[in-house]
Amino acid sequence: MDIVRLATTSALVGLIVAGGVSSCGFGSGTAGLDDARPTTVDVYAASSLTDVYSEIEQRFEDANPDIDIRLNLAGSSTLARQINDGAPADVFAPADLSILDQLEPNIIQASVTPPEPYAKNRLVLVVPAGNPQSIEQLIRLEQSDILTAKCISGVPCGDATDRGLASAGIELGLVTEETNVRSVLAKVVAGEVDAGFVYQTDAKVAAEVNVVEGFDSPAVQLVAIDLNASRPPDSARSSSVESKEASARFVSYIGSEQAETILTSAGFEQP
Amino acid sequence: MSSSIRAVPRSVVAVGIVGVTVLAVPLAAIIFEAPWAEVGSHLGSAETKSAIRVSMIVSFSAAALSVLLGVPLAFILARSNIRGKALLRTVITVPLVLPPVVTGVALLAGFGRRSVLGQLLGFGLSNSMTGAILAATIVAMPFLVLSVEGSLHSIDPDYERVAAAFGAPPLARWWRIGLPLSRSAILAGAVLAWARALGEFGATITFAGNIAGVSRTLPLEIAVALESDPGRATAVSLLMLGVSLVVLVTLRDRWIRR
Repeated sequence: MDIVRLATTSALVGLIVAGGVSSCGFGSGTAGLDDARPTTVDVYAASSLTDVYSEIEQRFEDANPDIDIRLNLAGSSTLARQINDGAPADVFAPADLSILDQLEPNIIQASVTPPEPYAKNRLVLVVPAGNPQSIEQLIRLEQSDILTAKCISGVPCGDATDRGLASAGIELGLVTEETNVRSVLAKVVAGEVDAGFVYQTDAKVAAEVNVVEGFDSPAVQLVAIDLNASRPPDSARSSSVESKEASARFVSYIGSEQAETILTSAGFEQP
Repeated sequence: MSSSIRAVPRSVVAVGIVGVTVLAVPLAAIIFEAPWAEVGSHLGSAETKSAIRVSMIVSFSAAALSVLLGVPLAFILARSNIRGKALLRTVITVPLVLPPVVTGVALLAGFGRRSVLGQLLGFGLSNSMTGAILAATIVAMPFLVLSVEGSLHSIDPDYERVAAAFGAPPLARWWRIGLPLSRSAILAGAVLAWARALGEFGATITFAGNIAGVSRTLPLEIAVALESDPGRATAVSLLMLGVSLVVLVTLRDRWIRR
């Protein structure tokens, strides 16, 4: 057997496959080669920000036609894992400040100034429309026949729920844990659970749920981190001056008055 | 091995090597990167034990239900001339190609709290262990049906013809000829169905929820641990990889021989 030739052919096929896959995956992140092409900014945002970031993206692109925002929406800790694995994120917007602890220290460098929260969000207890189980007080959730949905512990909405329940001294009787806050909302909307903990902004999106007053949840702090700023120019993904400038412009837009209007009307609070 | 001419062109072998590499690298990586010193304590934790218990009940129930309901269906598909057989086969095998989350949504529509049945009964089958068993059965049963139907087609029809000529009624022919001759296919199908049920995730979390001790199976436990305790997620993943390898070894004589 001609092992060497076989090995060479395999390696070649492998390279072609790998090249094909990776070129499908990411478009060229480099900008500035062709002035007509807008500079791309990859924004990794929490799924609870789906609606509000889509609107911000549109407004920002209208005002900055030379920049193209690309949103990647998922649970905050999933996004942090992707970034630690080398995903080409320019801006990271998790649902809570605490998620930044999950980033590798070399990614979030000491040179980056402590991030300023641009908004706050809060968890509320919601029940299906009409409140079929007449849940008026938190203590009802301790009953073993009341099924409550919450986020998995470890993701921001799950951790905030845990802290809120601990300070209220409530232990849930029967609980189903979802991987992200929108799944919790979906189960309450569908009436498959008796109650659920979602962000007040989610409760505002869905007309089919009622908010039960009396759950005092700790606020989550929203931050937007410019990962592009601290990225060395000679790193694998070339960060040109244009690309750094575009990322910085988007992050400062998040803190602008225009963005504040969008955030406030969606139900976010000022930090 | 004994053939003197080259049966497989070199270029095909080259592509094959790439394919095997793509499949093997992630599996090798999880074995090498596992926190081996902690695997024992992770697998012995209360959370993992509870998930193992739920997974065992759900997967074995689903495999048993698949045999109970699937074997008759396989006989109908293989032997009868009823109209609409193509439609029947589609209904049985569609969970093979359907994204499991869609199966979960369909189950909610069919057996959820707000479904017609759910409102009639006053309760749904969702968010319960029964729901988890139902979800696992639906995704697992096609493996059994296809395995058994295939084996029935390969049985010489003369056996049953002769038995019929000697006056054996259909049920006796089924019981004395078809069933014994497809025994190994039923066993292999049951093992495959059990393995598929054990790995079920999407339909389970959508329909049966993620309730500790009720519907939190091993794959759901991995998803939970991934957010708070990645070491445990890897340990449970290794456990499932080990189980898969055992299943493959069990079926080796069927597939890997020759």
